Amino acid sequence: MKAWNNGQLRELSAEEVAVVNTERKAWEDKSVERKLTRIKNIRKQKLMETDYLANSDVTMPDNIKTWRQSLRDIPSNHTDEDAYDLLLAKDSDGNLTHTIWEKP
Amino acid sequence: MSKTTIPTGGIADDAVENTKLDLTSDYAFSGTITGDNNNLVKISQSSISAGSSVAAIEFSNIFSSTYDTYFVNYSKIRLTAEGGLRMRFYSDTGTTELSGAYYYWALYGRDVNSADEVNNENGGNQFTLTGTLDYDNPGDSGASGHLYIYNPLANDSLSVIANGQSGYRNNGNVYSANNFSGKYSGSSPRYGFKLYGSSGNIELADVTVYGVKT
Repeated sequence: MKAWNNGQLRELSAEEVAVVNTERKAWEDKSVERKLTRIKNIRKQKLMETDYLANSDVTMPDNIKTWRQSLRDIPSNHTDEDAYDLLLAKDSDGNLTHTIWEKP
Repeated sequence: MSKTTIPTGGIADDAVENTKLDLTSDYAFSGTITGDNNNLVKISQSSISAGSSVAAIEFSNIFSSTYDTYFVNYSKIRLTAEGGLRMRFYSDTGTTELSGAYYYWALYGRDVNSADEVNNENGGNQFTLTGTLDYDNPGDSGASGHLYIYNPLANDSLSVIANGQSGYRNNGNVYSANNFSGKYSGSSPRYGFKLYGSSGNIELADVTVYGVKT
């Protein structure tokens, strides 16, 4: 393993390589946690898009209520990394493909 | 006796490469600019070309008493794996890393997955300058941005970092953008720093460090 030091390539010592590998593993170990955080951020944005329907002078349609509840239930209904990957899947244009994100 | 003007006939016919000085030609200047016009000086530059792969880009023994502020411009950074761009200081003129829990920072951005990325640490072991990046395709722009480092050598002062970054991933047609600020609150002076990925190597990058006189 090498590093670029002040314009010169240098070989990392065994001790330095061990530190790098430990830190990278710590990052990898939190992969699932990061995916769930990402999903929650997307969910938050989706909920915010229809928050105005909760105002007292507006009636929220039942299908929107159902959809919003399904978004809130994501953590309890999708509990492993495979499920997270499906929720985060995108098409070639970068659009999320899971139907749960589609506003009715 | 010092001269501030060139007198008539002051430049000999063979002054440059045995020809008269041609004002339309290019000449390499290898001297040091002194005086009042050195407020922004390029100190070091590292470029990682496509096909190369390194664990980190290191700038050791880069900070000196000559400057209080350093401006770092980076462009086209690509990591070999999905991850964030990180930074850590050195405690000496070598590459001894300051990895104690003295890094305080906050980040708000939009990551390459088109999701908001909000992150912070109150006493982390490094700065994480960006959200998740995934630029490993030939058509990707990589991550470009800049950061300022203030007072790195002062042991009674904080090194405050400000960073802005943006990038574009061709696959999926998505942009990322991040704003970051942070401080290093440890008491020991910082003599240098390194940039690295939270995962994977750096396979493409161009990083330039400038000293700024304030």
